[in-house]
Amino acid sequence: MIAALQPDRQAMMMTLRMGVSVVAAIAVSSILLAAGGFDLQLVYEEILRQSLGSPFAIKNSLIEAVPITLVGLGVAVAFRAGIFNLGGEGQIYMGALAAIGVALGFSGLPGPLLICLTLIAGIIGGALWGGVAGALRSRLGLSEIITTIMLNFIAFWIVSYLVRGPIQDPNSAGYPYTAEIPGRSQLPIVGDLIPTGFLIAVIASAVAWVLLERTKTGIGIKSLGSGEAAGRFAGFRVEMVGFGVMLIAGAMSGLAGAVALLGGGDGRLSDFFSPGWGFIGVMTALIGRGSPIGTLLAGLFVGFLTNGISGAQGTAGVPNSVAQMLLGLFVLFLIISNTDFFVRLAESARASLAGSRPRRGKATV
Amino acid sequence: MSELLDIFASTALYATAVRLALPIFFAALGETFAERAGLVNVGLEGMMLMGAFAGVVGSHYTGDPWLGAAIGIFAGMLVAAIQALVAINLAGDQIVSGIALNIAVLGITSYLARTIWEGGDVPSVNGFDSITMPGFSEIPFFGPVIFEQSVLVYLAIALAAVSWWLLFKKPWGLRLRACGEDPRSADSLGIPVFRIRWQSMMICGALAGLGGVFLSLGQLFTFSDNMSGGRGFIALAVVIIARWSPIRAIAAAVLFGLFEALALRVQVTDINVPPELMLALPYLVTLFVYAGLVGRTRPPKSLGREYSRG
Amino acid sequence: MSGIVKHFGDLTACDNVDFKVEAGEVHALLGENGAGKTTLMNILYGLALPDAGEIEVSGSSVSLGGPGDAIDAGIGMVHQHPLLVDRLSVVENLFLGGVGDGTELGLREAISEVEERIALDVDPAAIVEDLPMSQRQRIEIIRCLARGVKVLILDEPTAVLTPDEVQRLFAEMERLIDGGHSVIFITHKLPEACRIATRTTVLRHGRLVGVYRTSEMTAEDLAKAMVGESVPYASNRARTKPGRPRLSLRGCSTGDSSSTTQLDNVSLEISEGEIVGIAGVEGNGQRQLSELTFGLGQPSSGDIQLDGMTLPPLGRWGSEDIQIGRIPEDRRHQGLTLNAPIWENMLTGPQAPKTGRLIRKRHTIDWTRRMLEEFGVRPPDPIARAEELSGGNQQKVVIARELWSNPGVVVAVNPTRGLDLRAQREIHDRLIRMRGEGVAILVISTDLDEVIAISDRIGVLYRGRLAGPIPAEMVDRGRVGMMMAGIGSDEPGSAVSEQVR
Repeated sequence: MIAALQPDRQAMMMTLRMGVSVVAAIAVSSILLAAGGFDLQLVYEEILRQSLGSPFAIKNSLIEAVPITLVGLGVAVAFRAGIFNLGGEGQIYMGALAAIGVALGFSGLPGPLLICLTLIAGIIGGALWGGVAGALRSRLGLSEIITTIMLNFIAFWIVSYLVRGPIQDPNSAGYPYTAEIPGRSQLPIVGDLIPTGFLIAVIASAVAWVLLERTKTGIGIKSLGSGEAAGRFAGFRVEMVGFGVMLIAGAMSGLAGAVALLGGGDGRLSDFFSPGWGFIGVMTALIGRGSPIGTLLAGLFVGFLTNGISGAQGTAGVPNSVAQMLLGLFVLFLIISNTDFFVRLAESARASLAGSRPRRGKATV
Repeated sequence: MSELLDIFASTALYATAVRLALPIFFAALGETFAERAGLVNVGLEGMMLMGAFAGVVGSHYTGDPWLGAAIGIFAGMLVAAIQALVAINLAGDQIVSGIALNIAVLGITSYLARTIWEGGDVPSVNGFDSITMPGFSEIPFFGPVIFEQSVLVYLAIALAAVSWWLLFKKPWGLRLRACGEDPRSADSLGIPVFRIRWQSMMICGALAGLGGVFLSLGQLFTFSDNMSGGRGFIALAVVIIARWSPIRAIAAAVLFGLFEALALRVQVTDINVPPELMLALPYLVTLFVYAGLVGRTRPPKSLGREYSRG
Repeated sequence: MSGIVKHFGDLTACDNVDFKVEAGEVHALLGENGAGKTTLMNILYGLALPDAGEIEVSGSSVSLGGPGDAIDAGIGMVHQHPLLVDRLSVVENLFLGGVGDGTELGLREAISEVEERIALDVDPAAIVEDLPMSQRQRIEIIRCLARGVKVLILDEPTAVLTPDEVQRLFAEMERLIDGGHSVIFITHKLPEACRIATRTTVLRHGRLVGVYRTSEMTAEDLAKAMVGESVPYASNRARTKPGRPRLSLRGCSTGDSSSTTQLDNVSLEISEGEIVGIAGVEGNGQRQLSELTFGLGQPSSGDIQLDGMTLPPLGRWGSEDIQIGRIPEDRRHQGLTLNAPIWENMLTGPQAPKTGRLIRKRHTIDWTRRMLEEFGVRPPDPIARAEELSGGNQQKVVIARELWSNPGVVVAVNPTRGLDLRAQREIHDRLIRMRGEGVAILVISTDLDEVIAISDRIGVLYRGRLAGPIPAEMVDRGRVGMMMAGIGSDEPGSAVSEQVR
């Protein structure tokens, strides 16, 4: 019953869906903002200015985009295998925890080496936490939607305990955070504009793309996502792939935690370290339609948006939460525009313009 | 050690456990209806949060917690209607739309709280105090645990029984379960699949909204950002642990509440356990109980699968 | 029904079709797979809406928005795999199906009333998923009758029945028309239409070919009408002498003896240059046998060997070099990843060409295009997604991937199910040609005609036991039919194989 669309029509449909969804999300948010008494023109001007208006603003937007993109890449790879990694938040904390341990514990090492070791520690910390959910899924068949959420809370409380006790900064005057990372382990900003973390995110996107599009493992991951039977028939060990994908997802989120520690913020781990990057990363992967390149672009969009809104909080009084509202609505409209109903609607609109018979079809995420 | 025993011996612990279990139980009960009809509703968290928020807004403006509760329930149903539209009529991805709804509701409630109250300083509003049932509360142990609670506790017990009766003793429940097992066959048998799935999702939204109302109006008498704090997801786990039974959902929810209560109790004693680690305990226990049920759960056959006619 | 039109995308499933059933007749609806039979009947049963056309019942026009409307209009449908809720009991299903007045007593009365015409013959409290297909079909028939249905549509009911069950069904159909009901009998099997139908409507490519009085037609006439040109059955030409054994199962059993059928001590040997066909009604261990030979499962006891070496399960060391071409039953879900491009589909499984660490995309696409042309896939477009192809072309993609490297052993499960006659012919010819080149071929099929047409030796699976295989020359249809039904003893497998010997 699936009448496929031609490739050029598919691309057109995709652009149309993105456009319609983002416009709809902005429209609904604007109504809410206007109802809240905000001057819409001022708000949008401020968001643009605070995210794009100066090299400084662009740099901060890029820094903001990095953890979101990295988490999103992990979510995207898992999503292609039909697995929902909602555990980004916990994996970020565990990655950052391992990273701060190395950064503070080996603070005597030379800068580049220390940075590498810290990033690797972050990857391992996140991968372990993702691997727990992966193992629970592969060995026991537990839904990762539930286990990853539980693991988020457990990771959060572990870090919360540690930063108030064993690894609290002795000079913190009681504030729940660790000591600052050594200055030479900070990630440099290239040309005062491009944060190193962003380059790492670009490399990670490329690696994820090669994995999914240029290896047989990638073909296996994708066939798993469209139903286990095909992957099993092709000889992929479904459980192993599921576990491996969660390791990758955890590693990406752990890397996000380490990069955020070394390349942004105040260089300390606290229990308010992540402002919800885990779930924002899920939104990013969904906006990027599960493709690494799409996720990188979506990560940029979301990074600029959230940085713009948090900047506009100071100048136009827009609450930070508007970012979540916009993203949630955006993804919701994307789903709606991905259904048969919308495709038919768009096709019949096109057909009535062109004066031909409507076709039915179903696009895929 | 003896202090720990003291805690377990105190009825206050169990009373707290029941109180903390209630919001989760309401949401889990709602989700039981949805999942029995074949719908996975990851948006449960958002429905609770919206219920909690709308309940406070309602109570603030009307001064009447009952009206507030009604508004909270209605708000939960409103979110559920979006989920139903996407999952049932448009046959979109149920899980993705649930996740998106959660984030959207989190953003909307936080934003609206700041718009309504300067700086997001939500004042205290009228809520539900506990009602003491004369006579019953004198009963040792059960008196304080069950009969010195806010009215919603009685409601919870009644609702569990009614739900069980509806789902397993009424033709409507049989039809609903048929939709969850095999919607195509159900359709062929003449069951209005879409209508029944809508009904189940509306019940789910109402109960999740009620759970949120209890959180805000029954416990804290105010609203704070993200105050559902993952309870919607715990309710999802509770549904599985209870193996899609309304009665067992009580036990599963209370189990979670018990460990949360324990974490709170331990903090006010001399026992030297870091409170943060105690707060992680309920989630760890949920994970272990879930893992312990491996192979013994049998979800409705078409759970999470969209249905549309060819 | 008159002037019925139904499109699915660019496909026209029904093109201005007229169809008419009279009271008290069995009316066969004949056509190849994909001729539009099921679509037409789904429209009549309210499961699909026509794009154009009109439906009249007893002279008055009706609009059928759902099965409920159809039943109210006196039209009921019995599906090949009955649409019942598997995990509920027989009575619960009948209750949900609107039998009786909504009370338990009314339900029981309604059932016993119908039982005068057709026996339920099954424990009302039994869970549907434990029942054989014939009984599930009977539950649907009873449900329709109890709802006052006058026109009963049977959608290819015989494909999942044993010959004996088919006889019983035909007897029941005759009793129904004696009672004034009408039966629409959808089939693509000519002899069955000739045997039971009063009149026959033939569809081809969504168009009406003609309406015939069955007694005035021969099977050949109907075949011509159905296919449009005379296409002889593929015949198993010029047997070659089989060589050394390649694939052998020795005493293979699977799983525990739980409720589902498992293989029970199956031994089988397939040699170079022969086609061994395994017949049997669906659900008698075909899936388990195919999974064993596909390397997807391991026997709980016994041994499966390729050239004297135990076959490693897929995904383990050594399995990637195994030269078995595997054609699965379910091309849409097992054989292919539907939303992936064809060139990616050509790279899955052990028969796929070796790539280096990284796939060279352009190279792979060129190679895929050559393969698609060689195996006659239309269109030979490597970047099209698998779901964009028709069923026959999807199957050809699977066959191209599995057979391009000329593996010495081929296992094919229902290789032509759902394909039109031309595609069937091509696939049968290819298998027979490979047989001639010395390939060892195992065909597991629920289509008895297919098994008889192409096999050198034939075996029958019944309740997990294998009878035979015996040389095709020694097989007569009636006997195989009895073997498929397990008739002849209380202890099926062993006794049947003795009977055959």
